[in-house]
Amino acid sequence: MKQQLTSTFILLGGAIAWTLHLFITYTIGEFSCVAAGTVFSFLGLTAAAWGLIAVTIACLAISVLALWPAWGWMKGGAKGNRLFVARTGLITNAVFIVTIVAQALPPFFLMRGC
Amino acid sequence: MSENSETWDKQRKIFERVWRAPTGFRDWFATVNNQPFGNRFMLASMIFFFLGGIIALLMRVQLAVPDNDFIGPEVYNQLFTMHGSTMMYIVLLPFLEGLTIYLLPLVLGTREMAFPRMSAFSFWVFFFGGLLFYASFLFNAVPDAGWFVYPPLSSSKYSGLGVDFLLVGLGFIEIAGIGAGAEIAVTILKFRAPGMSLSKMPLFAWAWLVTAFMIIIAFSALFGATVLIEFDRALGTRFFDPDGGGNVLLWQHLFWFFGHPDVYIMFIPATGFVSMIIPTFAKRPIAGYSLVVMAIVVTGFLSFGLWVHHMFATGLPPVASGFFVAASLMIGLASGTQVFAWIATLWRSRPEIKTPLLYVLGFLALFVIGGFTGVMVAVLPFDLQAHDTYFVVAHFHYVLIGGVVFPILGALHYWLPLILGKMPSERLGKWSFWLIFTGFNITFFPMHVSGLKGMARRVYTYSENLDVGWLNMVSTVGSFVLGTGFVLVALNVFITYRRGKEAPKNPWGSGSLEWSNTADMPNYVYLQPPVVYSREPLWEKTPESEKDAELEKLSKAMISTPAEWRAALITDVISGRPQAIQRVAGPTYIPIIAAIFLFITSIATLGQSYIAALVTLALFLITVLYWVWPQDEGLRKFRVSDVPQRTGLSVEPTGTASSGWWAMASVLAVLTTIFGLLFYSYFYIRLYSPAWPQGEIAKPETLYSAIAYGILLLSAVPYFLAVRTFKDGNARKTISLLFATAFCGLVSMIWILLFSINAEFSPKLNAYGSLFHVLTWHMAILIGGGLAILAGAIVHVIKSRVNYQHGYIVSQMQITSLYWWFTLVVGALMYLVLHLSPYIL
Repeated sequence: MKQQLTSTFILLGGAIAWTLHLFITYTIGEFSCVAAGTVFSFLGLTAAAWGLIAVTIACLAISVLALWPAWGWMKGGAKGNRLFVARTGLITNAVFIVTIVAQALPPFFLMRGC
Repeated sequence: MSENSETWDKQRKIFERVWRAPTGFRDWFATVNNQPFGNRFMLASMIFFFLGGIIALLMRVQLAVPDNDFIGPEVYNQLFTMHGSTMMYIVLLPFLEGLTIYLLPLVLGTREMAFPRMSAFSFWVFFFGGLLFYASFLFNAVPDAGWFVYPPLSSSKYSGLGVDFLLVGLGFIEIAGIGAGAEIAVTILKFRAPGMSLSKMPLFAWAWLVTAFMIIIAFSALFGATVLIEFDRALGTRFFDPDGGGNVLLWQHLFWFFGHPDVYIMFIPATGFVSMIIPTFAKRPIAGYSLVVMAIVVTGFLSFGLWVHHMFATGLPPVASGFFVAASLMIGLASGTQVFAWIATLWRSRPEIKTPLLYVLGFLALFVIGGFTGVMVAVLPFDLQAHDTYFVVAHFHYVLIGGVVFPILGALHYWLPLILGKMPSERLGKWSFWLIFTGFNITFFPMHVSGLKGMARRVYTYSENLDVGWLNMVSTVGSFVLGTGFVLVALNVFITYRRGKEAPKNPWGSGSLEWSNTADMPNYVYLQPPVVYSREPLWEKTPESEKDAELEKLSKAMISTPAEWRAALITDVISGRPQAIQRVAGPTYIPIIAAIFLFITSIATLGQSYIAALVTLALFLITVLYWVWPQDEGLRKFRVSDVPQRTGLSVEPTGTASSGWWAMASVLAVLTTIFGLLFYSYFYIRLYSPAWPQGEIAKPETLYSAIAYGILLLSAVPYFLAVRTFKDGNARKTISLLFATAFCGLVSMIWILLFSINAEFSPKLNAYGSLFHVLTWHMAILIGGGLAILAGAIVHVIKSRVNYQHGYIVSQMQITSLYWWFTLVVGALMYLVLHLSPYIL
């Protein structure tokens, strides 16, 4: 059971992190401009921008966490199905990490002027 | 005759009796076997395809010259609506599903789909939905608001009965899609050949696994949205009515949350076909298997993050648009990976160019063009220029015809020898390919230019001053060449069916499992389930020394087990190792009866005979209840069976080994999407409303609602104790506690409904009123469903009191738990959103 959960997390951890990131950042992006998310600011950044940063870091952390066991399996000389799960998970999570960063950048810069 | 072959012959006879499909006209409606329903899906969608094609040709004739009056603007609006709706809803996906329902058990090395009655039900519902679309012509009420039915154009103020035909028909297509999606997902997850781990799963199955989940989510979203817009039209709610505080853009969000993934829902299975055809002709395994799997998974997820790129021109906040541009560009990475993998597989392979491969090569060329223009329109500034022009029409036809229809045609020619047992004509195949390929490019390539010159789409004519007349004439000529190509394909299929040359076994020399069969395969397909050791089992012979003795023994035991009922092996999702033996449903009239009741309900709704609609809806629900109710006879057969002794596997699987658990997980995925959509709608409308609640409506009261929802949450206590006493083996106490749970649920449901009945504002007053009432109704229905499931659990515990720890009843309790805990979570969220959030947000 534990191995099944780990396999699922390796394969889908990054995807789940990206999904969370999409919905939360979309909510911040769409709603903050209307709902005063840009009124308050701290260290030159608006509350919405800080929210974006926090969500992005959290989601990146989930993706990295999903990479971790995959890397461990690869280094441990995994074979067969385990190797496949580790390899596919590694690439998939890497793509989602890049996607999360790519998606976080535009709203971060645009957040100053809705 | 050896003892071994005698056993096989004897077992074959028994299996043929057990798995026999009913014959005769009457029994034609009772069969549930996957192959007839695969064929029916394909045949029906082909007929709809030709109807949609004729409509397209009429549109092209109208557009051949500037300022043409061949058909007026009203008819043109109807034609482009019907063309889009036909192709998007009742042609491409149903054909893909049909071919998959036919092939999946063969590819996975199993005997049947997970839920055969669901295949039958999905087909009938899809077919009736398609008939409803086209019945609109008989009533001179053809929908004319586009396949996307944007309000306010689609509101009752500006559109007539035609839009109702489209929306109700669409409801059918959504139900059919969700049913087929759930069935395909569970089949791939649990019904694989022993040894077929995730790493040995054919890419066809990977593509469909991802697609099936996408269908469940995207079609559920569309279903929820369709209900809301139909409420606006029929009941006068104000979700999308700006005069009543609603928001037209909300519909676009909800629609494109389905609409964009829908493109990939059709494209990903098509790539699955391509990934099966290319290695066969290249005579080598696919290059970069893991990368292709990654691309499929990434595409499936990212496709849900792109919906806003259809709305760039609506004036959304640039912040929101910004990251949808990023996601739109990222998805190109995943699609590109697959293209490179296919090219790498073909590289220096010297394949023999037969018709299926020809179509695949055509797909590669056209899809790359469609992909490039896709990247162009993903860039916000360019999209603002090209939006609603023929450039976009050219782009999505390159994606949908190039990226989906070409692989479908390749797949059709590729698997026809397995389906009909006869070889299609190569000469006709190649003629049809070249006609379709050249006709397609002549039709659609000029549209890039006419679009860039400013020709607007969805308009029945254009001015001569635009200087696009000659481009349109070229497109029209091309469309007839394209149409001729499709007629040749149909002719080729017909000639093959009537007098094609007999196909040899595995005519293309493929390595995948389905080709171990021929067209005259028995209904149970595999008497002995194959043990899978590689991705191309027909290419790689596994030495005896490397075979898995346990799996081989089990596979042999399945030859004679079980003999009294239809059954298939259940395997572990990740490792593919056998876990249990699952009973598979046999012939029944239930699916068609349920579909007919649903059909009559929709016709009664269209005719505004709401009493008749309620009666037939009740009959439909009773039929469904009968459907899911376990038959005692079946359970008795399980319990006297010697299958567990022979195989070491349970016949009453529990937990995630049971297909019922996965079916309930699919239902919860549907419900999560629908409630997510409702909550999103609530906050979206709230966001753009200056005051909340809108108008003169007072803030909702919190005390009584807290008690009503609190009682629902309180039911967690007796339910938790019921699960514990059930595990301890105390039947009497379990029954009492389940009754207590149901009582709490019932009181809560009635009280929650009273909030709607006693409200001082109607759902017609404004969007807030609509949201309050409709969300409340949804909550009550959710609890009502839970009460029905609880009642089922109570009856089963009572009936099975003697030995209620049987696997079946354990599974029933687990399924009930899934639903009830979900209901409690939604209940808590509903209270927070509906009753508390107006005080906070």
